[in-house]
Amino acid sequence: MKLPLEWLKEYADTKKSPKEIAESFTLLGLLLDKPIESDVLDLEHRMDRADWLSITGCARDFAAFECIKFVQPTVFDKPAQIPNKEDIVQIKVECPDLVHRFNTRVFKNIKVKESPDWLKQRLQAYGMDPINNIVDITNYVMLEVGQPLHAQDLSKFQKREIIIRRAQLGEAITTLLGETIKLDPDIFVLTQNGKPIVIGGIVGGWETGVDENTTEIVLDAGNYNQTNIRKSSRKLKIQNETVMRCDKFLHPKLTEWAIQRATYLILELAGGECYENVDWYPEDSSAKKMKFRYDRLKLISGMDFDKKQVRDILTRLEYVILEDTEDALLLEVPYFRTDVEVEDDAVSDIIRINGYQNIPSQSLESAPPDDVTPLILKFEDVIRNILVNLGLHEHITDPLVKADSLVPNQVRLQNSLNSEKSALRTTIYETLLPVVELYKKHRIEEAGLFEMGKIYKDSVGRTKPEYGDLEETRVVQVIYHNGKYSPKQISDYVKGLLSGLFTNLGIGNVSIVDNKDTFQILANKTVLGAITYDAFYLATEELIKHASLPKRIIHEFDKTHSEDFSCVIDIGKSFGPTLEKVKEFDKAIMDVEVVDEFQKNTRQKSILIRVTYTGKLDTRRLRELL
Amino acid sequence: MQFCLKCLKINQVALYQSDIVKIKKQFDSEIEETRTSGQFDELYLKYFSKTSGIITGLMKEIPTLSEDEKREFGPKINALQNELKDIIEQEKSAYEKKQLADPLIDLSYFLPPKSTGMLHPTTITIREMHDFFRYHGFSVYEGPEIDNEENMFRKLNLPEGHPATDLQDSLFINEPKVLLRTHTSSVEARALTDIEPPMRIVVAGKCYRNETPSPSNASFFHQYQGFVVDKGINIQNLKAIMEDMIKFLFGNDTVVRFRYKYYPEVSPGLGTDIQCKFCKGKGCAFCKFRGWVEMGGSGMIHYNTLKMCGIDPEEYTGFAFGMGLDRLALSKFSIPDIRKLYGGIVYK
Repeated sequence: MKLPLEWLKEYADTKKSPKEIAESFTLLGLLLDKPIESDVLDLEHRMDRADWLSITGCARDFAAFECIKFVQPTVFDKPAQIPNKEDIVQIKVECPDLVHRFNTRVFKNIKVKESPDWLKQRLQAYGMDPINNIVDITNYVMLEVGQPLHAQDLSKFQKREIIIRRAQLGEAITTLLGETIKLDPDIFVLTQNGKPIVIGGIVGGWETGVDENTTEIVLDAGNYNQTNIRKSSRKLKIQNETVMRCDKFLHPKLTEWAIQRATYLILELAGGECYENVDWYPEDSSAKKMKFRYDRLKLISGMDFDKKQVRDILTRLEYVILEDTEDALLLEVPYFRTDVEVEDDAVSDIIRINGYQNIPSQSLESAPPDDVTPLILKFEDVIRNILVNLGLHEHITDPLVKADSLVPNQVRLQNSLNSEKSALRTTIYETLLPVVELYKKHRIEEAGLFEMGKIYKDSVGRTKPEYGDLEETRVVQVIYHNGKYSPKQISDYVKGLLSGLFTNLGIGNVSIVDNKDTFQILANKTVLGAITYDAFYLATEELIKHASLPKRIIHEFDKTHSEDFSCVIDIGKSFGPTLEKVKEFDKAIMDVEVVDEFQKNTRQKSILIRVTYTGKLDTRRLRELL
Repeated sequence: MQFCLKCLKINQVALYQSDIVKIKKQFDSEIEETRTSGQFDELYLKYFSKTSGIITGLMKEIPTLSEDEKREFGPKINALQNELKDIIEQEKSAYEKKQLADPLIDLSYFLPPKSTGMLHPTTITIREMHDFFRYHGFSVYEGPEIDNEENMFRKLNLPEGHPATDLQDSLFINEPKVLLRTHTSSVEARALTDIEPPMRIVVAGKCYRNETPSPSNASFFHQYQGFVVDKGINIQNLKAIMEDMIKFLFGNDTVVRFRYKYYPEVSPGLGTDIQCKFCKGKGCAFCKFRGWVEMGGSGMIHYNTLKMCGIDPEEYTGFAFGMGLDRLALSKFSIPDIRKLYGGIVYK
């Protein structure tokens, strides 16, 4: 939002320098966006306050903040003349879902000419080109109060009637700038004698435009469905000052102020007379009332405010105090403050006008709540550390890839601006591999890389996928390249990395299985991922189920005991299975070895097994087992 | 000179002496062979065996000699014994070392040293942030990158058609229902719904916007978000944690500015800026002549957001904050282009 300071000072007179004014606006919520040039502030508007898209709206807050008087612009506050019945321009709205209010007035015997210098200069300071006094006044009032206005030459009307309806497919309009725009039923238009003359809330047409010969005009201020305006303007790729305001929450009541202000200026600068005309406004929206509790202010701000100061700030911002009790106020929210939804919004107004620089700091005092960190996040950090210690570099790559109908289960985006980034990856390999290529390009012989991230899958594959169709899987991907190694050596190295990772995660019983198109990595018969000669990936959420992070620190060596057991087996039979059985008997057993073997008789032999163990071992049961 | 047994004995000594020379010669040739065969123990026994050793045999002769002869011959045979034993020992250990070394260490070339890998700058930055917040009693939380409009907009107080949806250009999978998250506030909506207050939580994660990539904007980026819900939380608590965080990140001498900043999911909102370190607030190219650098947004969690997530806003209040992580990582590691951070960085 641009703010010419000379203009601002008409409503809030200040002696402050442009830099100081900019600082005040920044604290108030309108950040100075660009360097100050020729006494015009360019402030960042954050889409919330529709009234901040007007100079008076900015001035009102500024005046409250600086404790100076806010001067309202002069309006035409007398009743307009009653027109003859046949002079009335009839308004018909066929799409009431898109139009909330259409307020009009008719002017006769006006003189279209160049605007006076002060008006031209203000528009130019804002960045708009002056055209003629009528068009300039509509623009001026739009900037001043935030309501877009539109004037049309009545002599160019076939019938004194405006019908507002959705456009028909195939209809087109030529704008004031001479551009022809094709329309469709998503867009609504003002029509005259069946032909579109204005795209509602977006841009006016050339056909009924005001020129130097115009003497009679119909002035309108409309309040429209802002979602439709936003969508239509995007579709038509039209962005202008009208659209910028009509796609915000403007209050229908604002049309009255805008018409009255414009009437004052038209009569001043173009002469003529003004006549009442139709104000199409089927649903008069009532003013919003709201309870304001001092307790709530204290709770949110942590500060003690003087009640008088609170009332003063609210009044300066044009809240109306309807009831005033010991602990609360009943407020009527100013109609132009469409952003005020809840009590806390009025609370923010108090804190804001009091100055954010005046908020004290107070550290959190309560005891920290329980740790709710999911284990998987800690686990992935452990994997990162292990892989880094195994010599691999971590990379993070863009999960967005090119959409490819040949890739099964790919999640595709509807509206990406970039065709190279119009789907989500189904493997990390595809986005990490280009980094390996980069290493090669830089003649780095060895590249051991990993990425911890997600892969995405559309398991159903509808044209419009539902949320439940889409899966995200957490994966760690490793790729190894070494220009000096043969594929066999690379493969050995990659397997070494895998077993290094598994050993550190305490995962045993791992196998690699040929599953037709992939070599799957299994632990305890569960698939954890897949391996190729130069890469592997693992699903971390599967991995965590099998991991038992070894406690690598021991504070004492365990004392070991040995005991010998004898057992009889048939000659010719291996004693391997017996040893395995003993090993699995108890976790306390560290080692089992055969120390002696002799023939008992022709069919049997006796073997002496030495069992080494720590802690306690149920030797009686072991003996029974043998 | 007397010609008697003695003479014979003198001759005997002479004979012994020539034996020593012979033995030495014989030994020298035998040790040469042993160097390749490795049979040092056999060689030792040949000379020093208690029953049949060559040197032992000579030693046994010593008691038969006269005192003078003993004095002359004794030290020589002793010296020979020591010399041969030393040689055998040295050669044996050299042989063993060589035996051990050969197949394992190839001394002909050096391999490059193997070092550990590196964590990604963003991971390092996230860990640093987590360190700070965990110290302040925060948990780490996370959520999906593909989310629905409920968590992305509705619960964050953005009704359909709200102009603030323009603040983010969303990448849709199925407009308007399914999309890639444009901010990590969707995780906040989930946490507020799933976890019983009180809570202190931080979230770090990938977000996506429909933008054309540039040096400062990639199509995806990382956001860092935190929120606290408890009884009696107020805007002063938020201000304090933002101040502490900035001092932790940028040093105690950093000048911080707080201002009103609108976000739909908070009320009141709070913007945090730090004074530009290059121009000290005067305005320069780095800070786009503002004198200040934006550090992200925050505010008291909106009344409606708490309510929609099932928390009684009359009983609990809370604050939330969010910031971009990538710019932090870029400046920390002096990387000029965000596109290098994701897919371009090469470690050496």
